[in-house]
Amino acid sequence: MIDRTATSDEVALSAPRGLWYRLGPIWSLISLLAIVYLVTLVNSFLGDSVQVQLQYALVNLIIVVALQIFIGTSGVLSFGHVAFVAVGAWTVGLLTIEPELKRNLLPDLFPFLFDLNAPWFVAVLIGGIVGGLLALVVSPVLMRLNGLQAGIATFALLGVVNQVLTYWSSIGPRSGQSMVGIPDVLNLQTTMLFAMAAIVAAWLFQRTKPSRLLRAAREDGIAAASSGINVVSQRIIVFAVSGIVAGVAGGLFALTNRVVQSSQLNIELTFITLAMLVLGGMLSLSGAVIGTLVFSLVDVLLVRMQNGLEIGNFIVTVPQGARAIVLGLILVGMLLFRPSGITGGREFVWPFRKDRPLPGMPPTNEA
Amino acid sequence: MSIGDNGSARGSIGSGLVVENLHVAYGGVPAVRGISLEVKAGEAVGLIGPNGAGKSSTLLAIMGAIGRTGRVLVDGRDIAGLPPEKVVRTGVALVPEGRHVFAELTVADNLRLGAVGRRDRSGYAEALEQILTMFPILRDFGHRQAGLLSGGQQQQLAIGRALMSDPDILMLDEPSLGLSPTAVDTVFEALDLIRGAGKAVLVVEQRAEFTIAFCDRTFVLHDGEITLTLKPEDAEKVDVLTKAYFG
Repeated sequence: MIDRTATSDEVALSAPRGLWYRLGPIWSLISLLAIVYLVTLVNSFLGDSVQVQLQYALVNLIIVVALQIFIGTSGVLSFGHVAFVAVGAWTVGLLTIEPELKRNLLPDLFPFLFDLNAPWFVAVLIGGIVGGLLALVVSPVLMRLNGLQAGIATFALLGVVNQVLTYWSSIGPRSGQSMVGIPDVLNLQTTMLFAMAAIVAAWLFQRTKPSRLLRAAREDGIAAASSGINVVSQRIIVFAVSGIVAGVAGGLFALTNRVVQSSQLNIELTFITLAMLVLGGMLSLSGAVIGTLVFSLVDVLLVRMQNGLEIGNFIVTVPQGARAIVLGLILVGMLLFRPSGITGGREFVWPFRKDRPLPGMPPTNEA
Repeated sequence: MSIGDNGSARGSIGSGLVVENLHVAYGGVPAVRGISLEVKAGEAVGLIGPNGAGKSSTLLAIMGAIGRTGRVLVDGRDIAGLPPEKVVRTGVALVPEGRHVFAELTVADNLRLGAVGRRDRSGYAEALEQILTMFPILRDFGHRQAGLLSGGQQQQLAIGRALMSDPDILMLDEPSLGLSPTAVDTVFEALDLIRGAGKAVLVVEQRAEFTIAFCDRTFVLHDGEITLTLKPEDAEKVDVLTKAYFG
């Protein structure tokens, strides 16, 4: 054996780590909150239509954060998170529409639902719980799957949930109709606070034991199992947590859109939010935030250009339908040339810090 | 070194690993065909043989990572049907082939993760101290990312992490693969200590001569069956054996 004397880190290695270590540099959190705040601040000077679009972008941001919590931590793809968004939206719709309106517009509801009402804030939280419960119920089956199987099974979940919401008029509108009459209570600032809360929750969750264990298993499944990590049970926890966040996002979507239809909460939203995550980098929370904001900005610009965007004396126009093509091309280019996304799966750290944390790992106070 | 305090306390009748009539097949193609072997506490047993002989499959099957038939007894208890994370808790640890360390975690975190499968939480600090004494390099590089270590250091870390689960039976899949001669010596010196501490060691290797000399018994595997059992003194005759079995 090599004869060496222990020189350093003896105490640090065996000592239990304190709160400060586990939180890590708070910079990675503050920078994200600052970005969201600044974007909202700039937008408040730009007129109503932009503000509405930003509010949708912030709701999408929460959905993408939910996706990142699960996909980024487990390395398993999910096409099913919009199902949790949908049940969250449904919950908030049912709890916030005036009872009188419900009787008229949604006549087939279970009778007890007519008088079931909650303040919108409580309704949003309940929406999160319903999303989390749905995730918990399906997870014992889904979380055993990997790779393509997991993708297909979660996609099937979305399909089933969407069909149920479309056709089961006892818990919603009759088929083909939409839920209307959701109160106008949510403004941009409140949505921003929710988005920030989602970021804080995700950031804190990155530092919990299930998240850490699952990241290790993501890196090396064999080594994780040989170390005694039960990958399935850790995944179930993480899936349920991301289901809660997605459910909250669904509730906010309902309050933002004020009309909820199952067709809005289906494949298109699934792929748009996944594209945002891929664009930013799915292994980091920063990727979820940056991806959503960049994608939304390009999206808004393209929609404007389709209608003719005035820049000084020029009017820039692109043909109708160019939006989808350009966004698709950006995504293809990204996957070809930088598959790890804009952030490369890294979190923001203090710019003058010497060591850079590796992709997919939240920075810690360890050098 | 007192790593095996627990192990030797349990080192009475029925302790160690017993494998009876183990069969493994991949999609109908047999990889392991009726292997039976025993590793007692304080004993090292080697498995050698050409590629595809079923060595790694045997270890993975004992660990519960792949489907199998046959009996696997740990300290007299049948662990058939348990998934790997439960097998760890019966006191079996595997150091997988190719030094599977968690490359993006620090050395310290790798060791902490190894302790997830511990049955006895109270011995944690003591076990860590023993491992850091055995592999001082891990103490020096405690806060370095594991992927930045050299091959030999990663292998030490992989063994250290496996020991953190406080196993009675330590299985290693080609621990010398891709290591420098000095690093191999370090690894096998550590294995000798682990064996001396009363643990059962089952090691799969390609280096026939080395393994035969180190292990108390070495089984030669061929097409999923044990074709020969060798003693350490047979290491001298290894040239003949190598020709006979590996062509």
